[in-house]
Amino acid sequence: MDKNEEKQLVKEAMKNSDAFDKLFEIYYPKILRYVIFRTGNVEIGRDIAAETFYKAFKNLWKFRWIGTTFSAWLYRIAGNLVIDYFRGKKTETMFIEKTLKQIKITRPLSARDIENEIIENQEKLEENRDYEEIKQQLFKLPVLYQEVLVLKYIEGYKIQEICEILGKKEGTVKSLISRGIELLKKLMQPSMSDVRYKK
Amino acid sequence: MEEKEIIRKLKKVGKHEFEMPQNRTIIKYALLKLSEKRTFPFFKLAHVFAFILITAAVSVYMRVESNNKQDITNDLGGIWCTYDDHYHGGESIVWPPASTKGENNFVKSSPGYKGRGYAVRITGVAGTKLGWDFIGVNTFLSSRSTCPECIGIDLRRFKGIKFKIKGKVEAGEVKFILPYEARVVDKTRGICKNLTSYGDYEMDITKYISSDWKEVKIYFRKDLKQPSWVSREKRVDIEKVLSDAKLIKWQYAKGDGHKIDLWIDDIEFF
Repeated sequence: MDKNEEKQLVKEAMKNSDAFDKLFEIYYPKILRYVIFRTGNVEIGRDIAAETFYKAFKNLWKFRWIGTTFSAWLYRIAGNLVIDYFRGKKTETMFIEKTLKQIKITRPLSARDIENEIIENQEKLEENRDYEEIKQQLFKLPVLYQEVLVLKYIEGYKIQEICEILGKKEGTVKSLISRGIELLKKLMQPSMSDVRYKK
Repeated sequence: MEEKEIIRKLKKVGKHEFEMPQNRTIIKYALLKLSEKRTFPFFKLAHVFAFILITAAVSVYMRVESNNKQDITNDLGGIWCTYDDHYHGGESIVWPPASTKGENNFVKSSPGYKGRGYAVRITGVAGTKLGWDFIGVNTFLSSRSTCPECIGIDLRRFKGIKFKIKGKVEAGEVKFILPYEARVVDKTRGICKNLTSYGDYEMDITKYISSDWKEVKIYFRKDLKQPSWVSREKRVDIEKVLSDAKLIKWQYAKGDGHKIDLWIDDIEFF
């Protein structure tokens, strides 16, 4: 979707639920992926993604098209919620808890279906050896490096798009990426004890 | 580890997909529910908006197929597959080929509705041997709806299903079917056990099929009926069927040796 289409859709979303639905369907899977890779936990990822949309739609009327797109804005909200999560700050994830309780009787799906979906996806993620290996070291990096590396290599965004998402200049983003890879490289070197053990 | 190797691994991680359609549905529903309570400031701006959104919140919907994935699963994580009458001794032919030894040969075709993405397409011939020869395509409503788990999902919240369809039907009839199956396996066939002797809730949708895409909107409680030949003990309340729905089918029958080409896309419960 190009920027004009996105702009139009956001405008419409303030007035009708069909546009809201489209925005949700387009961006929810992307934000969900991003937060899962940032936290390494499917359930927390699901909650943060939900919270992201809750915040976004709550504040949609405040959103202005000045130097940022709607999708970049969503990533920023999600990124801030991830930081809050790692700082141990209780985010407003009560949104998902509360609403799931409220729609207990009328919900279209059973709690077991929803729970199983989370468990299955978490198991699959843990079976992904590349992610497990990278995750251990990635999470040791400062948050700034984590977010650029996930956006660039896991989510496949271009430098320009990352600049929009993070609200940073091109030079800064490039340097964060290169420094992040460098730090990751150091962390992923086998330790001396490993080398000795292998010998 | 070398820089190149780290980048390669990160990119490989990026290929990992998460399939959480049921969580997505419930979250969307929750957001709409909040709009009903007018929690969002922009919904407070005008009463007319609030009215539109309250109406939307009452009518929940859930996508089954949104035409943007090529693989054999739908948006709910269930698989697509074709079937024919060979088990009953028929000679009907369906493409993509039906499973013979538990394999899944299904492929989606392009372009889908509005010339975009992928659609479900079957072609074939319903034979003349049985008198009720058939071919069809079905999709399971969750990853656990298939054998041996046979666990369905609750559709009672929805009013019906809508989808886009096009194709060519030379003779015979195409029906949309909502089967009623138990949570037990029919061991002789290795499938979930049908409880109506295949006299399931259905609707004839042949009249909607032409060379252009058309929307079919089926109201479960009003439009779906069990066939008249179904015995009294096999008759079941539709609420019971909806409470544990495992799959939905599109079936072509009584074609008398004629061909069919059927495209289905953009499916959602509303």
